[in-house]
Amino acid sequence: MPRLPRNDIVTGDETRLLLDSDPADVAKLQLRLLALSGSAGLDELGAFQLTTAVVEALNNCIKHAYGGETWHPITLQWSLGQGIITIEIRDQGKPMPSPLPETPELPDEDSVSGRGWHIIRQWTDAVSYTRKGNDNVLKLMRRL
Amino acid sequence: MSLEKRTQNSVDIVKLPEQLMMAGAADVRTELKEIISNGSGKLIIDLADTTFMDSSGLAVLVSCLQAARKKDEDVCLVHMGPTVSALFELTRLHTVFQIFDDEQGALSALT
Repeated sequence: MPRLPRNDIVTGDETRLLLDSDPADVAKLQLRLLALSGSAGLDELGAFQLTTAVVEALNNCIKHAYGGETWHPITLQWSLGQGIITIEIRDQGKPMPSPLPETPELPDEDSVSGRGWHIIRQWTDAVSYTRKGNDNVLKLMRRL
Repeated sequence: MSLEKRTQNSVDIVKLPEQLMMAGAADVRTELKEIISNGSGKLIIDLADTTFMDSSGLAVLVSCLQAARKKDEDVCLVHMGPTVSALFELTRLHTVFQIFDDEQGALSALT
């Protein structure tokens, strides 16, 4: 499958990033997310926390929405307004369960999975999910 | 991927890369589990260079710990930075792993 062109579209306080549902693309994006968080005003720990939450959400798109297929589009829109960073993540994969799970209990300590949603919920201030047409739209919000 | 590895007092010491994320996690898991399987089972994981980790990275470390404990041995983590440390505390894995500031402390615990 042809890979989508990757573009950063920056307009005022908004940045739109296009990536494939490929873990390698998420790895490349990680430093960019860290930089965006820092330039928005989060300290080192806050930037790490928000970046990790966004990476977990993107990992979920890959694993659950697209079943591990690496050639599907994901759009990430980053915006800053009124002291709140909002990250909107869109994919066209399988719908997420609705309503979203609240902060889930951590799995047993020897479990190798099940920590992603806990990280997303704990390191953001609000999360919302809607299905618009064929798109999953997940919004993560974090106060400065 | 080939991880930087050396052995001291029968303890394998491995340095992890800057990122431990979904991309590359399977390769790192395979390599670490081979080291545990082929060696004494005592493993020190050096996180000095690791500035970013996600839940896939945590899963790699948990699976290594399980592999070492199957051999009645253990995995120690060293040189963990403050951000990765915050991730361990959030997920409470800091209560599961032995974590040391430096290699000497980890070597003493394992030998």
